[in-house]
Amino acid sequence: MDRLLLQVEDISTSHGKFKISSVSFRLKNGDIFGLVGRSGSGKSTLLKTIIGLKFPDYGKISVYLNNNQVELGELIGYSPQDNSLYPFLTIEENIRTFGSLYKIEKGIIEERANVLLRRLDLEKNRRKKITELSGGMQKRADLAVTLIHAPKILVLDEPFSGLDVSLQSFIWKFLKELSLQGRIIIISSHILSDIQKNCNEFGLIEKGAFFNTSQIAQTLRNSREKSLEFFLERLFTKDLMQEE
Amino acid sequence: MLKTIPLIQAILKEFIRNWKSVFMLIVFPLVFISMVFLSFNPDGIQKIPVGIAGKYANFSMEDYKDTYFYYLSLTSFESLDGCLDELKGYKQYACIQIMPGSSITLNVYYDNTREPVIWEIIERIKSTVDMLQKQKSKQMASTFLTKFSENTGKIDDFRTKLATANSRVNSYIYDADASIIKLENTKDELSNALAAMGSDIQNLKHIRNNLKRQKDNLYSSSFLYTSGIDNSARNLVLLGHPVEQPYLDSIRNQVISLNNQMYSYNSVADSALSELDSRIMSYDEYNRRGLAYLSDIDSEVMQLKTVKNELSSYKQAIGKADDEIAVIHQNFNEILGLDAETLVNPIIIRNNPAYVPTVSKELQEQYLNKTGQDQAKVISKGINLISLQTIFPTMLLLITLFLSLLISSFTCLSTINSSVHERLRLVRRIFVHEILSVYIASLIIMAMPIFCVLLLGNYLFKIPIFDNYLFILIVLFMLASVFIFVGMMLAYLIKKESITLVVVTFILAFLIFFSGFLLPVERMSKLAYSLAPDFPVKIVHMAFNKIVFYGRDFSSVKDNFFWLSIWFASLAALVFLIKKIREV
Repeated sequence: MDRLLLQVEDISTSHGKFKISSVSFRLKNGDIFGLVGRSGSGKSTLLKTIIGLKFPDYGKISVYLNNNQVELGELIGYSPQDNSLYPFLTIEENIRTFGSLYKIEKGIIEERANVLLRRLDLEKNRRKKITELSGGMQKRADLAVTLIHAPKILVLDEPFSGLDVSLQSFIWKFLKELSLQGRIIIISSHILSDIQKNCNEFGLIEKGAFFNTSQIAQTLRNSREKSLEFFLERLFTKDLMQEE
Repeated sequence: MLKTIPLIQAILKEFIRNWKSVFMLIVFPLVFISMVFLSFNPDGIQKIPVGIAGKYANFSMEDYKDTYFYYLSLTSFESLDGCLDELKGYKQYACIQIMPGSSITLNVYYDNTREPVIWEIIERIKSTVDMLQKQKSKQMASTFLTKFSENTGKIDDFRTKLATANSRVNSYIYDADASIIKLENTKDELSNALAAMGSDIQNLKHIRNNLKRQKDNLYSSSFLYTSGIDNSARNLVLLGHPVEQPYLDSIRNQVISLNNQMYSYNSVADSALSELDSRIMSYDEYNRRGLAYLSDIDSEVMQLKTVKNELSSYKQAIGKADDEIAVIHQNFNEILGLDAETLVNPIIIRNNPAYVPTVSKELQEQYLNKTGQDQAKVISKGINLISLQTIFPTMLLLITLFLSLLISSFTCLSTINSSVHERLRLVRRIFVHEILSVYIASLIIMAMPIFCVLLLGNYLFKIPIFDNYLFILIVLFMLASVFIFVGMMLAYLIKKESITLVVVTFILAFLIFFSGFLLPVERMSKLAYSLAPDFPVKIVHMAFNKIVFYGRDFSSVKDNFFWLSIWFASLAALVFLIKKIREV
């Protein structure tokens, strides 16, 4: 397994009026990074900045593969909040299209597609158009397309929104398998319990400030709450009550 | 291209499988185009309701309804007001009031709120009336020419009479000449004779005078001598010589006798001289009369010469009259040489269109078999076909313009606003491929409706599209490319679908305006007129017409291609630049 390190150093990014600054964290093989924050806090903006869809206002993002700095480029697999697929193409056509764009040989595409579709339980629906699929199947199809070029860093933006609990646990299980293969997984979600349960690294965005795992742990130690979930729930609810 | 092809495939599949896009950008334009093309009536305008006010025995438009005014649906009205009332109620397009007079006047009242079709109707009525006018005039001219031809024969008779008169006058002149010569000869002879006679009379007078002088001398000298003898005798008597007296007396008597005798002889001589004088006077009288005759002859000769001169003048006048009649005759012959058509239309304008379409054999036969009153309809149909053919490039280019702008902006917006776009952006070096894929996919999507339009052009409008298919494809490719780039540029620049479509509509209107489709560029201001021909649609329009209608070779359109290439390259560069700047 290649040794992989993603290093985010003091980056600042903005979108419209809001700004997130001083974002720093490091992730290595097998890490599952859970990014939390209230709606509209800028989670997606931060993720886009990490994967290179948006230039940071400040700071640096570096990736090291076996101690050599490499370009982020095709190491990244990204699944945005909404499905990022061609809606009128079938699942396998989407997979083939992106496989071709990543210049993967046809045979390998077929091989990987078969594995991914089987693992994601989409085999029976492979010739169905995305518009014909349910929300859960669409999300799984999106995941399959995200993984077609075997990315070493997987960035998922709110992958569980609109999915039922069984499907959520199915995906978590799948993601854990991927992390065990040495991939770095960055996931944003507002389902705090799952984040706490399945992630080993955390990030919190609150009012433009970013708190990494150690900062959150320190805060937790200082508060009466023993669980991150309760802490965040209390944090968000308190603010909501103040706003009311 | 490895990345472009899957992207094109994805865009095309997305497009084809989305019934909304297929309907809006393929089916709807195709139906629209077909409806537009099928709505053109190959027979020209529909039957137009027109009212007729007033009646005139010599002229009725109803008589020409089926032949010349077949495109009008005529309704008779008792009065003009009744017709105008219907015109204002939009039931009639025009009212024709027939005004009798030395020539029939048609007062056409037309509804000028129905532009532009009313102008075509007015123009048609005018052309038809012109045609009728010419036909009537031709009939009258033909009758006139026949009568004129008959009367021209009389000029020939007159010329013959003039020739006879001329010949007679010639004869008179000859006779007068002969008489003058004769009289002059006679005058000369008489003159000579009178001159000789005068000379003789003078000589005779001279001889008489000499004779009288000699007689008078002889008489006076003899009388002197006899007086001397008598005196001598008397003196001798006186001397008294008695012997001698008788002798002396005898002498004296003899002298007296001699004197008497001498006196008698003198008297006879005087009488003879008197006779001679009388004769001489008589000769003088004759001579004088002869001279008077000479004068008379001169006078006569002068008169004869005057007559001769007058005859010559008459002859000249006859000659001149003959010449003039000859000119008139020639002019009349020239008029007779004219046909009725030439007489009615001394100046004929024939508008010869530079573009004459190639007509198929079947079509030719179909038209040639029709004669008579159908001719006008056939001609009208032919003219309509040509005008439809000349409209076709405009329609084709408008459709290309419309489709290329809309399809490219739609495809581009679908791609950049699609959630898949974020995933695509993560693919390395996708920038150029994204542009290429949208461009090529737009071209492919456009191909079908454009091909359908070309089929309509070839089979419905009889334009030789397939004879020049390579060129047409290149031209359309260039034009479509230019406007696909415009559409993409707008999509990348604006990103929002609703605003982009509004802007595209404005751009379309602008391009249509500056392509001379709505307002001819020749009617634009100087600046707009100088700029408009360099607009891509105008460039392609000119190039298309040159090749399709006039069969010009590629060299004649290379300038057009050069400018199109400039547009192509500039807009492609702009697309790249805007996409880069806008980070899409």
